[in-house]
Amino acid sequence: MGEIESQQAQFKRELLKTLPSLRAFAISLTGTYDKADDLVQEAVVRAWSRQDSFEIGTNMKAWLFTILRNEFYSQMRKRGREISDAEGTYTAQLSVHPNQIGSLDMKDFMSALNKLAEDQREAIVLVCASGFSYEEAAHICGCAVGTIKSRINRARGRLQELLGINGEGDFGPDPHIAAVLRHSVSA
Amino acid sequence: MMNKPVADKKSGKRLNGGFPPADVVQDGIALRLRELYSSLENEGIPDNLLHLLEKLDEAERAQGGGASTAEQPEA
Repeated sequence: MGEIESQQAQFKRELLKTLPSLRAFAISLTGTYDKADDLVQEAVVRAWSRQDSFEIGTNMKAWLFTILRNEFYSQMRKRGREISDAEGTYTAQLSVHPNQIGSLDMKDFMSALNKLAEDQREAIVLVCASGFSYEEAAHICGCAVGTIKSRINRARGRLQELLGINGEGDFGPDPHIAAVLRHSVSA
Repeated sequence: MMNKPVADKKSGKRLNGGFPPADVVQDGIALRLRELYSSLENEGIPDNLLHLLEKLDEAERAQGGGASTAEQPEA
């Protein structure tokens, strides 16, 4: 390999960098670790086979998320709705990883998240957790920006309802982080 | 277990500075969601996934470079 990194090596490096977030998104979508890992594998194979169509330097993260999301919905269409477990499996599976999701609060939150409609869940996850802008999320989901915004609003309303909290002034378990976040955003 | 998003270098560079748009951040829901997501990200990449990447890499090298054509892209 010369001084210029091959396109292939760059592709792989970018892919690896995105995997943790892609996997977190897959867990959010499917609600289980097993299905999420299958889904990530499918998406990686597909992305790999299409790497010629990816332009290095463009948004690899959005590209991968789009592939994974398409894969998820095409599997759902094939298998019916069984992919999206209602309650139960999510938290049951997550309890296998006790060191990660330690707090009861987080488990409650996850099970509430899993009760949302898929379109609402993916919208709130993409924008509030994966770090995409409204525009990017709309592109990934193939819908209008306004649709993403209204899905997020509905998701938040439903989550507040499920968790029995009122959004304003409730900053969850760590007010310090909330303060840091508010500060960073306004800075 | 508490992950400060600001210091989260592990998961790579985030888009949008890693923060949701200003009008959604002021909310306990968004913060908990971020916390959950960060903890999932920080679990690392499972071995089977890393093995898959190695295998893809090897297959490609065996073919003498170029993307595998086994998988047909979907529209």
